[in-house]
Amino acid sequence: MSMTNAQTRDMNGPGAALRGIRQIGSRKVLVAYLLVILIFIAGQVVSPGFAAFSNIMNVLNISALLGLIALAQMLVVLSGGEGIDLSVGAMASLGAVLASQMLNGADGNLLPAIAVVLLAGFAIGAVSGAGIAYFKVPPLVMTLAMASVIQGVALVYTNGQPKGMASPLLKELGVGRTAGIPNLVLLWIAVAIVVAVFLTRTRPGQALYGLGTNRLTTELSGVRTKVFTTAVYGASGAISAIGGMMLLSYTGTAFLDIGSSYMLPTIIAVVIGGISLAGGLGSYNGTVAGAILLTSLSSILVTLRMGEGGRQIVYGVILLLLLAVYGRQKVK
Amino acid sequence: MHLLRATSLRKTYGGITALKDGNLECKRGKVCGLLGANGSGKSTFSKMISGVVTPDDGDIWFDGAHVRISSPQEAKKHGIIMVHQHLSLIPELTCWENMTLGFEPVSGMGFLNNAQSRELARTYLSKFAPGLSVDRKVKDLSLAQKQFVEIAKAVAQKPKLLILDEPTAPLEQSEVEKLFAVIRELKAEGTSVIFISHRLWEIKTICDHVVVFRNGETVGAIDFATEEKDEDAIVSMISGKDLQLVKHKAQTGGAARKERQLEVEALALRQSRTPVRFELGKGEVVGLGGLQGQGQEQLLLALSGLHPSGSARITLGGKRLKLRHPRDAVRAGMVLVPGDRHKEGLFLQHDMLLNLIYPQLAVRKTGFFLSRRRLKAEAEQIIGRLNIVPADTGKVVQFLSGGNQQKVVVGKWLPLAPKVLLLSDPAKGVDVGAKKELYDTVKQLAEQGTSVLLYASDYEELMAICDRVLILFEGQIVDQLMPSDYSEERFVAASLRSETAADRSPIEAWGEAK
Amino acid sequence: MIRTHGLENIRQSGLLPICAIFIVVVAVNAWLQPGFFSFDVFQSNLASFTPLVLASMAQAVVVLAGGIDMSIGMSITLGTVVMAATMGDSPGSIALGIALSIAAIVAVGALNGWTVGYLRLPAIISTFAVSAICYGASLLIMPQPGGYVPSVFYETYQSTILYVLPVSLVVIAAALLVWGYVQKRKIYRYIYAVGGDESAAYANGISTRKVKLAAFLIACVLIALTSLVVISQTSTGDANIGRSYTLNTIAAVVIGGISLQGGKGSVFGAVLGAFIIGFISNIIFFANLSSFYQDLIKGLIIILALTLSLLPALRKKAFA
Repeated sequence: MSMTNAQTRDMNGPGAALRGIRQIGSRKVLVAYLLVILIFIAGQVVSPGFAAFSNIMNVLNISALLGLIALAQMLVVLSGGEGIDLSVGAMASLGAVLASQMLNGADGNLLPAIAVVLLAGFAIGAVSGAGIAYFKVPPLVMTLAMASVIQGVALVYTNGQPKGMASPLLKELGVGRTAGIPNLVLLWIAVAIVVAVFLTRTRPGQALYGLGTNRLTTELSGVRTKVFTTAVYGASGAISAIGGMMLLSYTGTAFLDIGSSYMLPTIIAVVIGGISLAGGLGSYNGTVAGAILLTSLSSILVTLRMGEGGRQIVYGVILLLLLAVYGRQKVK
Repeated sequence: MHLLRATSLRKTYGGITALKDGNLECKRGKVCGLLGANGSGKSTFSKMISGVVTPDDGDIWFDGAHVRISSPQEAKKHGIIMVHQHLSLIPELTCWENMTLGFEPVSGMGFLNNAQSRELARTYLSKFAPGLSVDRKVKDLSLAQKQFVEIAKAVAQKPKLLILDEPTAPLEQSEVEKLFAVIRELKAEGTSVIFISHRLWEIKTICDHVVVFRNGETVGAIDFATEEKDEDAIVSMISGKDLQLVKHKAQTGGAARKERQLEVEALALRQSRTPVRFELGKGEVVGLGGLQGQGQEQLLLALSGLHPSGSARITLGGKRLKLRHPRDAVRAGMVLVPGDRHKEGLFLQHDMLLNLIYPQLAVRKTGFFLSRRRLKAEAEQIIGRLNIVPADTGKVVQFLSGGNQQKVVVGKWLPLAPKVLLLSDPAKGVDVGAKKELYDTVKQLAEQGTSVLLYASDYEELMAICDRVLILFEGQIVDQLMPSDYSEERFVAASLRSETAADRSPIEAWGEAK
Repeated sequence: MIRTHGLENIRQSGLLPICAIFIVVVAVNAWLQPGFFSFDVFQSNLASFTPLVLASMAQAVVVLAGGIDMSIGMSITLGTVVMAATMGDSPGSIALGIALSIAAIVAVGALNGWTVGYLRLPAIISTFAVSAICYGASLLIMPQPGGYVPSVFYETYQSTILYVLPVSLVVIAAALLVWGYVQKRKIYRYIYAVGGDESAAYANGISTRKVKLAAFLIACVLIALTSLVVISQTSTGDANIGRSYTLNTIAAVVIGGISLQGGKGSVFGAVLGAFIIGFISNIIFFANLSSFYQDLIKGLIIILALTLSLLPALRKKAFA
C-alpha cells in the first residue's frame, strides 16, 4: 500500500493529478450524501418535522422508486456508446398498467404478472437495443421514438383507461413497513447488494465495464458487442417495467403516465452518482446516492411550495451544471 | 538568411515525451527535408510550427521575428501552411468548396462569390491534376487526388512556408514528379518548403538540406549544398546505434518449419485483385514488411476476424476456420495485438486486472461468478512474466508508460495460450528497453510453439526477430526475404519494388517459402 | 467535366428515395382522404403541416452543423406560452407578446449554442437539459392551458391571399427565403464543414464554436416562425403543446436524408421529410383507426423510417 503511494508520488505531475481526478468518483458519492444531510438540516429549519424519522423514511421510500428505475438507466449509460434510455419512464408506465390490469386487485396472478411485465419490458428494450446495435440508430433517438411506441402500446392495451389495481401483497410491499423501515427500502437495499455483486464479481458484470469503456477492444477480445448491447437495453427495459410495478405497489392504482416524470431524474441521478456519460465507469452505490439526493431536493422544493415548473427548471439547471463540471467533450 | 528558426522545442503529453529537443533552420526559397522513423517526433515538431500543437518550451523565429504560434489560424497569418496527411478536407464538400474553405472570396455585400472560388480552385488544381473536375465531392476522389486537392489548396493561399507531411505516400511515380515540378516552381518564387518523407530517393531529389529526428530529438542536419548526398550517413542518423536487439540466428528456419500451423489462401486485401497466400510454421516468426499502408494492417485485421475475410481459406492447426467475428479467431487461438493500443487494445480508464483478464471473460473461460483471488494471481503472474512496471494489478493502465501498456496488450492473451500471435507494429511509441523486453517475450512464445505474424514499420525490428519477411505492396505479397538477405538496402529495394526486387517475381518468392 | 442535370442532380443529392416515399404517401393519402385535390383540402393540409415543416428546417440546420436540438419542442412551447400569456387585443400587447416570445426563443438558442459550442457539452444531453428548463418556464408562466390569443392570428393563418395563395404557403416561402439568404453566406459552408469534420474545419481556421452558436441562432428564426404558426393554429397557450415536435423533427430530418452525424444532406430534404410525416399522420387519421392506435403506429413508422434511412450509410461503411 505504502509502496503504491510512493510510486504515485514518484510519477510525474500530470499522472498523479489525473489519478486524483479519478478518485472524485467516490468523492462524488460522499458529496451527494453531505448535500442530503444539508438539505434535511435546511428542511428542518424551514419546516419543523422535515428531518423526523418518518419523513426521512418517506423520502427514502420514494428514493427507492427512483433508484430502481435509475438502475435501468445506469446499465444503459454504463454500456457506453452514447448510451441513454429515454424510454424508462414510458416503460415504467407500461409495467404499472400491465400489472394493474393483470392483478386486478388479487394476489393469484402475481407471479404471472411479474413474468409478463419482465418479458414485455425485456422484449421492447431489446428491440431498441437491436436498432441501436445493428442499425446504428443513435440511442437517444431510438429510445425517444420507442417511448412513444410504448405509450401507444399502453394506450391500446388499456383502451385509454387503465383498470384494476395492485394486489394486497404488492400493496404490502409498496406501503408496508418492517421494523419501521419501508419494505421498498429493504427491497432496494437487497437490489443494491445484488447489483454490486453482479457488477464486480460476475463475468457479464465485468464485461459490461469493458463494453462501456471501449467497444473496439471489447469486440477484438471476442465479445459479440452487438448482442451484448441488445441484451443491456433489454435488461434496462425489464428493470424499468418492474420499476413501474413498484410504482403501482406504492400508489395502488395505475395511470397512463405514472412513470413519465421519472425519465429526467433517472439521468440526473446516474450522473450525480458519478457514472460517466461516456460509459464504462461508476457503480450503483453512486446512483443510489444520486436518487436519494434528488428525492430529498424534490421533497424540500415541494415543502417550499415550488411547483412542477420550478422543479423542472431546477432539474435542468442541475443537469447542465453537472455536464459542465464533468461532461465536457474532449477536443479532438 | 533563415526564414524559420526553431530551437529546443519540447512537448510532453501526460508524462510521455513526444518531443525532447526539436531544432530546425529553414532557408528562404529552399526545400528542407525532415527525416526520422515513426515516433521520432518529426510530426509533433511540424505540428508545432503550423500551430496545431503548442510547444511546452522553446523558441520560434519566423521571418526575422520571434513568434508564438498558438493556432493554425495564427500560423496562416504568418504565412505558414501545413498540408496534413488526411486532416483538413471535408468529404461532403466539393473540391472547390474545400480549396477555398476558410478564405472564400466574397462580394462587397458579404455574399459568397462562388464563380471566383471555382476559378481559383481550377487554376491551382490544374497544376497537379488537369483532368480533375473541381465540382467533384472530395469523398469520391482517390487518395492521390485528395492529396493533390490538399496541396493545391495550400499553394493557392500563397504561403511563405509550406509544410508537406508525407505528401507522396499515396502518390505514384509520375504523380510525384508532378508534385516536384510544383515544388520547384514554388522555390523559384521564393517559397520555402518543409518536406517530410520516408523515401530517401525523394529526399535526395527535391531537398536542399535535411534535418533528422530520432527519439524526440534533432540528431543531425546535412546541407546538400556543401555536403554530399550520402544515403548511408542519413540512414545511420535515422536508425541510430541504440537499438541493441540481439539478432536472431538464421538457422531456426529449418527446425521450426516442420509443422504447419496456419495456412492462408485466397485472402483479398483492399482493392487488390490478386489475393495473398502464405503459411506459417509452428513457432515461426514471420514479418510483414514494405512501405506503410500496403495492406499489412488489413491482413492482420482480416485474420483477427474484425474485417471480413471474404472467400479466404484459412486453416489453423489443420482445421478450417470461418472468421465471422473476432470471437471465432480468439476461440481458435489466433489473437491480435493491434496497432493502436489505446483505441483497439486497452481499457485505458481501468486497472490492469480488468485488462489482463478480459479476454477470458470475453470467450467465457471463467465461470459466471469470478474468483477475484484466482484472477488476480493469474494477472500477477503475467505481470511478473512480462516484467510490467509497476507490478500492481490495481494500476490504471492510462498511467503506465507506452511500453508497459503494450506489454499489457500482449499479456492479456497469454492465459489463452494463443497458437498464432498477430502483432501490428507493437513497438510504436515504445522505448528501447521495453521494446527489447517485448520482443524477447515474443521470441519466448515462438520457442514454445506460438506462430507469430509481425508487422513493423521499422525494418530493424523485422530483421532482428523474424525468420523470414514477406514484403507487401498494394495488397499483394511481392517478395520474401530470408535472413541471409537481410539488409537495409534489400528492404528498401524490395519495398519500393525497385530494380533488385523486380527481377524476383512473386511466384519465385513464394516458391522459396515452401 | 460532367454537368449534372435534373434527375441526376436529385440522385446525386441523395433525395431520390425520399421523393419516391413522398409520392407513395401522397398517393395513399389521396386515395383515403376525400377531396384530396380540392383547394380547401390542400389548404387545410398545408396549414396543418406547416409547423412541422418549419421546425424540421430548424432541426436540420442544427443537425447539419453536427449537433442536435432536443429542446426544439419545448422552445416552441415556451414561445407560444409567452405569447398567450401577454397578448391582449391591442396592437401594442400583440407586438409585445411577439417580441417577448422571440426574445425567449433566442435566449434558449443562445444558451444551447453556448453550452454546445463554447462549453463543448454533448449536444444531445445539454439541449435535453435546456428542454427541461423551457418546460419548467412554460409551466411557471402557464400552469394550466389557457391565456388569450386574439382571433386575428387564427383568421390570418387560415386565409388566402388573393384567393389563391394560402398564408401557410407564404410562411413556408418566407422560411425558405431565410435559408436561401444563409446559403449565400460563408456560414452556410462552415455549417457543412463543421458538421462534416469538426477537426478538419478547425484546421482550416474556422471557429467551430461560433459556427455552432450561429447554427442554433439561425434555427431560432425558424423556431420563432413555428411558434407563431402553432399559436395561430391552436389559439391557446399550453405547456405541453410542443412536446411531440422534438421527436418528429428528428424523424423528418432523418427521413429527409440528413445524416445525424452532421454535414450531409439538405434542408430541403427535411422539408420533404416533414411533409411525409404530415401525410402519414393524415393517412392514419383517415384510415379510421381507433385514435389509440395513432401514437403507436406513428412511433413504429418513425422507427422504421429511421432504420431504413440509416441502412444505406451502413452498407456503404461495410464496403469502405
